[in-house]
This record gives sequence, structure tokens and C-alpha cells, in this order.
Amino acid sequence: MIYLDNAATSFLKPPAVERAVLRAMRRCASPGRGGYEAAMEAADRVFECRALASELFDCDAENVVFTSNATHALNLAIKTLVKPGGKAVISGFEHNAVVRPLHALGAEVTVAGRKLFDPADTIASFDRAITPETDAVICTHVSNVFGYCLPVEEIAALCWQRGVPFILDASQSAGVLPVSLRALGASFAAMPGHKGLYGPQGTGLLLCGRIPKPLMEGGTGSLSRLAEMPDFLPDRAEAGTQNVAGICGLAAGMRFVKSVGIERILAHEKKICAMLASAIEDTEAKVYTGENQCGVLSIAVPGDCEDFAQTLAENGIAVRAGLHCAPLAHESAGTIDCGTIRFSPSALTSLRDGEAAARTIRSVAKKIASEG
Amino acid sequence: MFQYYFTFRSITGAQRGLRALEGAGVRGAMTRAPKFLSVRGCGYALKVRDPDAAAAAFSYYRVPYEGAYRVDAHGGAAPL
Repeated sequence: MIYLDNAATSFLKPPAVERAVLRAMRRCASPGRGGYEAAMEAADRVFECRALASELFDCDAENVVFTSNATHALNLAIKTLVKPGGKAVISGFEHNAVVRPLHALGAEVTVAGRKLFDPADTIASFDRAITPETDAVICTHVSNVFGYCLPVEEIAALCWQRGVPFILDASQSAGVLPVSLRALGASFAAMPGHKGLYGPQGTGLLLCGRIPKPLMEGGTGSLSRLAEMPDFLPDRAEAGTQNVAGICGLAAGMRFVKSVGIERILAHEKKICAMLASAIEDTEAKVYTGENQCGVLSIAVPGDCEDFAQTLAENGIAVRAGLHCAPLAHESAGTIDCGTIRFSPSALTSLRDGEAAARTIRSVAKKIASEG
Repeated sequence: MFQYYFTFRSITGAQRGLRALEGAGVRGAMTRAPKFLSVRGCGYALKVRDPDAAAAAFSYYRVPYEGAYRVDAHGGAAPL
């Protein structure tokens, strides 16, 4: 199988990730719950992961909160800042992990910046939409459908100037683009551990520029006599035992990202996407490319995108078709009715696999066109 | 003979404290806080030999601690 669905989860992991998970399962008990060796080992490994994240994303180690995925992290952030019935500004490329919590809050949502690969329009649109009454601005760093890299530094600066909290959804950028919580002045940055950071599923991070409101209450191993949750990080947002094995795997994944370097990873992924785009460009498929694009590529085909993806699956190529849990992005790009087929390589996708995938995708596109 | 403890409100705080001690070349070990030092229930502490050097390291690396205590052989604790 040639796996090109890394925007959903990086299925191929560095071998060190699997080793770290196994080691943790054998050696680690509950962190922060005891003074015996296995508890202290767990605490050391968990702190090591926090420290790694704090170095990669430029924040203090205690401001790194472990979550079960980016959706969990975004829920924490959004429900801290947006009041029920409050006002939020979001980009036209947000995932349902942003749209649905806002809907559940009954928030009045303004969608800003719907032009694909047009950062100037995106900035101007946010500039018009953000008002002093805005509870929060939530913006994805990279569209999970089209790979469009949004101008988040400029949007964060607009928020900063107007005293409006900013939440970054770094689901597709963590591990491929620089993310600095401090430089952005963001209230929160949310990211999964299982995509570009190469950790196991069930891991995520919320980087906190302020204290979040807990989504859950429970034991933290600290201030146990108090009925209230601790008022400090990370304990306030980490009720219950953490996913220690997952966190250890995530630490190994982040070490891999550090050792390869995000610039090299991005360049490699973009190179494979360019191969795929060039193989398809003279077929009947519409290829969505632009200057401000990361290693995620979407195409729209004349027939059913799910059929196309199924044919690719039968030919050993794993991709994702449909709306990618981001109907807003498809509305913005005009693909809401047809959906797209998304290709997303990773640092572990070989160039040879990229070439083989390009040949197969081209031949499937041609075959379907001739049958149609 | 006394023992010196710095208490922290969370294990993460104590871990940052331990890194600060390591950074400053000060000896210390993380331990569960003795019950009589963790009045709000469950906590971690750093046990050190040189409390002045430890306090200087925490100050330099901006690591906040909850309390600093001198504990005698009978378990009598006095704030530093």
C-alpha cells in the first residue's frame, strides 16, 4: 500500500515511536500519583514530552496540556473563550472541530477569507470581520483539504492590536511549519499528536497562552483536599490519568521531527505533491494548487470522487475522498457538491512511492475519463 | 542534622525545579512531599542539601515554589 492519507493520520511511524510506546507500557505507571520507580519514570517521560513540545512550539513546559486529539484541544480552547451565544470569527477553511463546538455554543459566527490561495484577501477579510465584540478568532494554519497556508501571523497581529483572543488550529501545520505560541501571542494553539508529529492516535496538545476552563473535572495528583480543580497549568486541564504510552510515542515522534527538520519535511512533502499534480494536470481532473500551499493536494474529478478513491484503493493507494470533515472549506472552494480526492504524503513517503502513485493516479484518471 | 525541602504545587512545577537545579549544578532529588508539608493534599518536593543555592537557581530560572522548609530528624518542620 502507498499511504497518502497523512492529513488524517500519519499511519507510517518512525520505528522509535513503536519502541517508546512498548517501553512505556512495560515500565510506566501513573505519572504524578506516587513516588515509586514506575510512577516517577512515567512522570519523567511525560515531562520530557512537555519539554520537547515547549522547545518545538516556543512556550513554557507547564503551558503544554495533553489532550486526546486536536478536536479535544480545540473544544477546550473555544469553550474557554466563546460565551454561549457569543461572537466568533473563523476562516472559510475551518474543520468541523471548530465549526461544531461553535454551533453547540449557539455562537454568532462570521466567516472571513473564503478565497483559496489568496492571503491578501484573507487578511483584508479578517480585518473587516474582527470587532471589539468578537470573543475569539479561530483560524486554521493550513487547510486540511487544500493545503492552503493561511497568513496566521498577520491575523494574529490584527487580533493583538484589537485585544481579541486568537486560537490557532495547527492540525496540519505542526511538524511542517514553524509554530510559535509566543510570537503569535495566541491564547491557544491546538494540534494533534498523530499527524505531523508522528505520535500514536489518541494524542494531542493544547499550548496555552492563558488558563483554560476545564472540560472535565477529576483527579490531578495535586491539591487533593480541594474540591475545585487546581487553578494552574497543566493540572487544570488534565483531569485523570494521561495517555502515558501515547505521550511517550509522541515524544519519540517529535524527536524524529526535530532530527529531520521541519523545512526538509515540508520540502519533501511538497515535492511529492508536485509530482502528483503534474501527473494529473492534463487529465480531466481539476487540480487545486497555489503558491501558499503545504504538502496537501486536492483534485476534483468529473465522476464520483468516492469511486475514484475506491479504484485507487483497489490499486494499492490509500487516499481520502469526500468532504474531509470540512464542508466549510469545500463551500469556499466551490467543491461542496462534488467533494475532492485528497493526497497527503509524509516525511516517510518515499520518492519512489510518490512516482508510482503518480503513475497509477494518472492511469486511473485517464481510464475513468475514457469510460465516462 | 537537617533536611531541606522545596515544595511545589504540581509535579510539573517540581520537574521544572529539578531541571533548574541541574542547570545550576545544584544537587537535588524529587520526592513526594511529606504529608506534613502538603497541607492541601498530595504534592511533590525537591530535597536539597544546599537550600541557598537551590533558591538562587529557582530564582534565576524563574521557577516558582510553594514553600521552603528545614526538617529535623524528628519531623519538625520550620519554614526557611
